[in-house]
Amino acid sequence: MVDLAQPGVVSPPRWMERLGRIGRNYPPLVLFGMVWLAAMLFIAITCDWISPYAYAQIDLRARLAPPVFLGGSERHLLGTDELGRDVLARLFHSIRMSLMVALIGTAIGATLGTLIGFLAAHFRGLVDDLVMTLIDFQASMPFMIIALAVLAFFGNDLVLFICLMGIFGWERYARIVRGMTLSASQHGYAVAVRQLGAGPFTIYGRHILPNIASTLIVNLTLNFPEHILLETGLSFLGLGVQPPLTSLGNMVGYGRDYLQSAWWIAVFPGLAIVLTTLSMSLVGDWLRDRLDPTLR
Amino acid sequence: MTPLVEARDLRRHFRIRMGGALLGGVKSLKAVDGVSFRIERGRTLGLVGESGCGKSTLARLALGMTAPDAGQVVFDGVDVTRLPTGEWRRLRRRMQMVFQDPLGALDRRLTVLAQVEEPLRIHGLAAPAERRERALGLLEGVGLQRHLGDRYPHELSGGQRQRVVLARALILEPDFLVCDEPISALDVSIQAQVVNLLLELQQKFGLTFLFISHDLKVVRHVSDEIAVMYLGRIVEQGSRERLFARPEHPYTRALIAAVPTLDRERRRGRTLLAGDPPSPLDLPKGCRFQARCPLAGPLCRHIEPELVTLADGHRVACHVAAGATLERAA
Amino acid sequence: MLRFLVAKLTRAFLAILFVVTFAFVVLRLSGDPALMILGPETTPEALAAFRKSWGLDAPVWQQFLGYLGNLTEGRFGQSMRDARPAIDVVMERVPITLWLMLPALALKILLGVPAGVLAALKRNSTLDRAIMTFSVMGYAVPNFVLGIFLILIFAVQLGWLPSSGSATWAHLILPVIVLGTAGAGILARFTRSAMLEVLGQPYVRTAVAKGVPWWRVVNWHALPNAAIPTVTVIGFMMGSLIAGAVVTESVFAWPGLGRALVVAVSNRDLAVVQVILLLVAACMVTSNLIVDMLYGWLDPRTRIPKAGVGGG
Repeated sequence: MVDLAQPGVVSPPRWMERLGRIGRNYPPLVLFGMVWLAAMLFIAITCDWISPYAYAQIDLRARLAPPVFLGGSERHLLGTDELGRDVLARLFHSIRMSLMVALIGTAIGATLGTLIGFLAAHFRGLVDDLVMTLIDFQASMPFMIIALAVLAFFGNDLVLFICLMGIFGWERYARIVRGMTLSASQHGYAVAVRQLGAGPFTIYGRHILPNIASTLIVNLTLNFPEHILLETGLSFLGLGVQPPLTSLGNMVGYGRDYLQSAWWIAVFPGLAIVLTTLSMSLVGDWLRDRLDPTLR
Repeated sequence: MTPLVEARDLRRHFRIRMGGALLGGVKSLKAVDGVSFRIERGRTLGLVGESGCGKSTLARLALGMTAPDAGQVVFDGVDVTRLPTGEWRRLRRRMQMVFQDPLGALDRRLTVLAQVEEPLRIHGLAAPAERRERALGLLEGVGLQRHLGDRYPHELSGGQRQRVVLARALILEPDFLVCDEPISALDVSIQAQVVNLLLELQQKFGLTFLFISHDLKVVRHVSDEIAVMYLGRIVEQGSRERLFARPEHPYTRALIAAVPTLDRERRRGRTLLAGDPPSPLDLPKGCRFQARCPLAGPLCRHIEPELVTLADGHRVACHVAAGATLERAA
Repeated sequence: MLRFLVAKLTRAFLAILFVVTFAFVVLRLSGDPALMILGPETTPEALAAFRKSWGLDAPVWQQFLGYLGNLTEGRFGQSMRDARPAIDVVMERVPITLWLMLPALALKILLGVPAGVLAALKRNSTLDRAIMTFSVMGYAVPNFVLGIFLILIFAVQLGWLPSSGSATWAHLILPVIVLGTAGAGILARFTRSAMLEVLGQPYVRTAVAKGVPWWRVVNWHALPNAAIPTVTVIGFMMGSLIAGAVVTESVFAWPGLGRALVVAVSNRDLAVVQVILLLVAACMVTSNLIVDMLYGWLDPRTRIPKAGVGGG
């Protein structure tokens, strides 16, 4: 880089300038969101090693012990629940579970939606009509109700639950992929590549997908917090992740009964949910503004 | 001598839904309405006409990219319009297209070199190292320096991009190249360079061209034979010399007269086109050109003229044009 | 307009049919419907009689037609838990849920729409930022967490309000706040972006340039046009009125439809779940239809479909 500063004019030191640039590109709230998400990811990965106790370890002598800053003992930093299980350990494992379910759900939804979008755009006609009807239907029906109906009909286990989470949100990817593929196929590089003799895998996989990836990634970041909200909501109702496994919504749900005597059981996981979805939304909005101004 | 490419009575109609009432009708847009031509190996057929006359649809039909409603395109003895997908793809090695908008025709996310190599990849030809070498060689062949291969399309100029598109089309060593307005998106100063490059490559590779343009001047420069298209039909077709020396159809005459010229004599007798062509959705009965034709007579309002071949092999579709009436009378 | 209406009605009908088919298929997949609907303690004779009366021994397509017939006659099966027709179990909860949802909807609109308009008019001001931050919060904080926090503060710590039940007016306050603020955030965001779009239009800028008073520009030009997307969101909220309270009702032990649904799902009381599913679908479809009608009224362009290529 050429230094354009005039000799004799005092310019602010380089490091301050750089700091200013970082501040402009990464607003403090977004930075906070990134740090928080990184911390959550760290906890999710390492929770087996950093947890003070096993998450299901019962200590009946230390039931409903308060957190350390409310006069509790140092053995349970965030207190214990009604069975004397360490809230911190359970929180760590709940974070792992909630993140995992939301991540897998988001991944399934994105893959499914992208595939269906490509299918609709490729075959057009009847397939397209069918897909569009499905998309309209799912977009107009509150997913919570669909999820509850499926859980009622099929009962609950973790695999089914995660699959169910995967069905949530596919329609938005499908709509985006279909629309962008159709417009790409009409003119430009997709026609050119097809005319070179390329098959659908080359056209969609090598050319169209990379070109619409930024839009999809933005949608992914906006979709992820909704998955967390859905998972925690269903688990809160007792219809999602089942004990002895634990998730953030699960903890809040059981903690609700102890609000009078031990509020910390529900409040810490509640805060974790709020901060995680908030961080993801902030980072997602920021990413959208940077990558894809058309999506506003 | 059998032609390399022959189109027989090609038709492509688009159904357009008319909005409005509950029982809104469906109209037919006759983009290509009965077009036939033959192109000999190593020759160039120039196709000229106003925008919206069906030129681009014809280009897609000629390559089998769009299926016609009727008619066929025979390429070296094979009907390309009804091929199974796999065989159609294989045939891409022999017939290629150069697009009007080179920036749009290139993937903005891949380097130029990757895109020039791509046809070899798609067809499973040559090992990676050899593909790269051939692509680089061809880039040089179209007048681009090797180091430009690492650039992305938006980092090149319009003329350079069109050279890339050409290289990509030529790397499969095709026999037949359809150029759909290959220079109309380029700066005037670059147009001549690209046209000359096309001619040079034709010599070198023995290419057969279908060259489509709205610009008669360019078509004249590159073509052996010229077809004039008006609203989905060919109205006149013949060798370049014959067509320019003695145009038969009033539309052709008007087009030729509209070419800017320094010749004062020519300028005086100029017939200019008045008005716009009628909507292709609402073609008049009789001759399509009647509304704008200075010579239209009663016959033209009732009977659509056929494309007839004159004694010297020139073809024209007009009741009034002298040659045609004589032919009829005879 | 007629064609538009026919298309919309067909679509609505298809959506309902889809839900019905979904319920039918899933019911069949999830086990013996006779056992499911009558309960496990039924005698074999009763099961056989039930199968015969519901036509369960017939081919599947006949069963499906029979099922459709039953639905149109209002027979939805017995609630497994209450040993009463499922439709009765559901219908008696509807007013309780509406009693909660209508004030919440009013709060959403009264809070969200003006906030969105204000934010748009004072774009990039502190007020705008505050409203948008609030909106993001409303979106990111799930209902049950907000509910728990409110209970903790107002019921447990301060003791001002009851934490659960539906006996008095006071019981209404916390759940309405929870539902209202979350929805208001979404509504504010939509209204703001709709307003901003309209305010950027040439005709609005022309009006301002011509010296038309600002309040008049807003009232005459901006608001009616910005209303269109806002109405869509409100319509969607109306449709999900009945469904939207599932979580909130559970937090506050409000004995409405949402609570009934959760209980029915836990007990796998399929008849009740199915009735609620159909009810929600009917509400969504109806409200979508109403929104489409309103569109025609608010936006004169859709009233007469444009004639011409590709129109209609």
